[in-house]
Amino acid sequence: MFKLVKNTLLVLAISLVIVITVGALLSPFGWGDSTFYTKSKYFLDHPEKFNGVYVGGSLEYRHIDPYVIDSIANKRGVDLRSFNLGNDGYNLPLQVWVTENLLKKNEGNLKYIFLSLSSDPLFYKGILHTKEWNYWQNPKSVLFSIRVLYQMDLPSKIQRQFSRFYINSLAENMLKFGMMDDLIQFHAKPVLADSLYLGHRKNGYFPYDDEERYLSLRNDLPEEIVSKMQNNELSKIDYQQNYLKRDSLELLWSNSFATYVPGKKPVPLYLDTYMDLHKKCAEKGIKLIFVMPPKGRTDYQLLQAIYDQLPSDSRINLADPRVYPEFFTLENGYNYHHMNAKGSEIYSKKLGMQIANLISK
Amino acid sequence: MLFNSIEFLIFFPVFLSIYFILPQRHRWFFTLAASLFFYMCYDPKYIFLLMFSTGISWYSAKKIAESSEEKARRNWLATGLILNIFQLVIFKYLNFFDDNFRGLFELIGLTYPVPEPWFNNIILPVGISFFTFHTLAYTLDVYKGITPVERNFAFYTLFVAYWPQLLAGPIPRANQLIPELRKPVEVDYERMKSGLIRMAIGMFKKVVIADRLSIYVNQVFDNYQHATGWTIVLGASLFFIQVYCDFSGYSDIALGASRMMGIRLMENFKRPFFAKNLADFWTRWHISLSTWLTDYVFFYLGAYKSTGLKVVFNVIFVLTICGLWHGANWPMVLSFSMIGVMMAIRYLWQFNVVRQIKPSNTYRWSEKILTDNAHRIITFFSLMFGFMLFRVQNVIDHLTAKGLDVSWTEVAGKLYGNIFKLGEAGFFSEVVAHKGEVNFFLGMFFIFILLLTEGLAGDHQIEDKIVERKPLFRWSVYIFMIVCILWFGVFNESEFVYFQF
Repeated sequence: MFKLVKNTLLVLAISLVIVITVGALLSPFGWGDSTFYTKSKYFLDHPEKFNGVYVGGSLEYRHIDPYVIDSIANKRGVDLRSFNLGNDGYNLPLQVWVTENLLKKNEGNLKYIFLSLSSDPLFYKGILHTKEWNYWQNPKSVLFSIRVLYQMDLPSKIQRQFSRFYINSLAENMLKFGMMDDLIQFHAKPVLADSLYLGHRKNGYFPYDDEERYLSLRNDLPEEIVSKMQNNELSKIDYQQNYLKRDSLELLWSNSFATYVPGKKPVPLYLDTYMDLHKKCAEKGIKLIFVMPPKGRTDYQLLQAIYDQLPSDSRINLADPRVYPEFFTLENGYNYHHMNAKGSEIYSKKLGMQIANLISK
Repeated sequence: MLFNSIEFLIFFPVFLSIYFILPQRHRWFFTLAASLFFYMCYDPKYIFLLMFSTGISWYSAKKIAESSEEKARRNWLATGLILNIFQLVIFKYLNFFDDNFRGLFELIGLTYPVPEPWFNNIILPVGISFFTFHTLAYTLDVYKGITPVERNFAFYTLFVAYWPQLLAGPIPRANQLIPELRKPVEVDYERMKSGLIRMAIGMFKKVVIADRLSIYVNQVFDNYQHATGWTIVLGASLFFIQVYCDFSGYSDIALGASRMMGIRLMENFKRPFFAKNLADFWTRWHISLSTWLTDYVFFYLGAYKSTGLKVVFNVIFVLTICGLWHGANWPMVLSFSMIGVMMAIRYLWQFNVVRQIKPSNTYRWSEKILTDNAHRIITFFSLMFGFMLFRVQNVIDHLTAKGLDVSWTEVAGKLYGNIFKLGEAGFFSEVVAHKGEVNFFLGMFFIFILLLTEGLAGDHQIEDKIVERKPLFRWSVYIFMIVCILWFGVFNESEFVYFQF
């Protein structure tokens, strides 16, 4: 029995070493998510075109039009040529991971990074066990996510559950669990997202309206895109019809700001990580600006507590419905958490003015 | 608890450790407790059905053994068989019969007297067809004197519920399994190693091949309206291979796990794709079921003793029963009946034509290889053609879940109507492009590896051939299997195809 256990463990150990080493060697940056890969590849392949980048989730990808912001900054005499690297579903640990990688890969062109202050380590469980979610997981990110989860004011069940999810995802990524055919496929012939996902100005901005209009013209879409479209359509219809939910969400966001008591203690690791990133950027001559966008899925009191501690010349808050009611009107909305192209343009203008104010100082 | 789940990955080592720590005399009871737990992991309430079937067969067999009068023995035999079959009919076939009678009444314009029945909501208890066949065989064997009666009810329950083979076979015979369960077992490195390799082979077949192929099979069959020619041929061929890898993968894990415990189960597959004709195929595919049907149905009907049409009837009837065992729906029944008809035609051809021709001894070895392989290919495609109907019910279930109402005749009509349109460009290449060419070529590569190893192993089991080789080769194979399972496995915890039976 002992011999069997010993030999089994030895075979397993050798297999794991091979699997982990080869897997790590074969995994290039951003390979698992075709949209992110397409966007990041375009951005990194054109260092001469861009000196600024927006990092975040869909609240950035679908809302920030770099063309609008660059125009405003340029009028103020600031050379800003920015790219929107936001990607659907990219939460806090992913955003930190993207920023750290950008710092490593920076060829000296980057002057500005605009990092979203909009999320936490929680995520939509439906993406578990997908290569899009697994491919980026690394021990450092997972440790960071788990520590933040335990510093947040969350029920212990959620903390345990999501910690387990992160650990499982890390194991799946390290072992390339059922992912190797995708990885080989990537090396043989990368499945790039349609170039339209870069936006029609190739600056990474692609609002939901454009996506809907473009995809509805095609009849050869794979099932997952059709299903995504259907979900988007459903969320849009629900948003337009269910005014009770719409109003209550807005009220929730308003109350978060109205009842916020300054001096609230921020999640320590969350803040430390941001401050550390700010310092690393400064060392490389990059200005890191934190942007708190509207319509987030996170508790704004948690974000506000962090926001208050960030350097005042490096932060922008556009999230408060009492200050910016225009982001919350039905006319400017696409669904509960996103604006349409019209709303996004308004948002980009407001953000552009704030950015110009900060960087022209 | 699925064999391809994390739960099983925890369950099995824990079970095996305790099993070998316990003294010999207590092991069977522990295995019984584990078996009942294993079954209850699916749905605890169905344990009553298992116990009902076990109780009835045990008691009737006991009474058969105790009765000296033939009439009483026959009565107890009938009681045991009828009650067990009755339970199977209630839980598996009642809906099927009800639907058909309802349809028949509608067809002839009469009002069906049975209101919308309560049993419409019955979910097929997992493994019911398997454990019912265990108990039927036991009762019949005791009656025929093939196996001695088991007087210990708990031990008999272990025979019925023995966890490795409870849910999807192999269907054991009492005179083979009960002595195995009783014999003392010591820890044996070579035996446990070979069992572990067998389990790894089963896992490889299931997650690396079967679940990968299911991606293409689902695409082809779920879009049956647009499928033509080669798309259907490829989809149906891959389905045939998928079912083999899925089911034989399950059997391999069951046999391997059981072998590690020192209990040998009967082999369920013997290189079925190397069968040279349909009759040969049934001696290689789901052997425990085909021998069951042969022993308890085919021989009862007279087997090949009679000639001509009687044999034709026997063959088609047994295959129809086989289809009915697989599923209470017409596509499944007709799928097997169709194969029965093909077998009957072959029998008539052999009996009336081939037998009259003087056999030639002038074949060269190259001609023999060509002829044998031609026979294998013809057999494969004949079965593929029949098994296409096997898949139709899944299409109906898939469409019903989407809220669409399509009859099986329409789906089958499309598939069989379009399969011969070989000149038309199908959409298979689009499916391959969408899922990634690498994914497909890996699938083909692994099928090639499987057929190659089965071919090289000949009549031996693959694991027996592996353990004979030098350590470097052996270890390379182990590592190759583990790496492939980790890297190329499809881990969606899909159920085994045969669980639905």
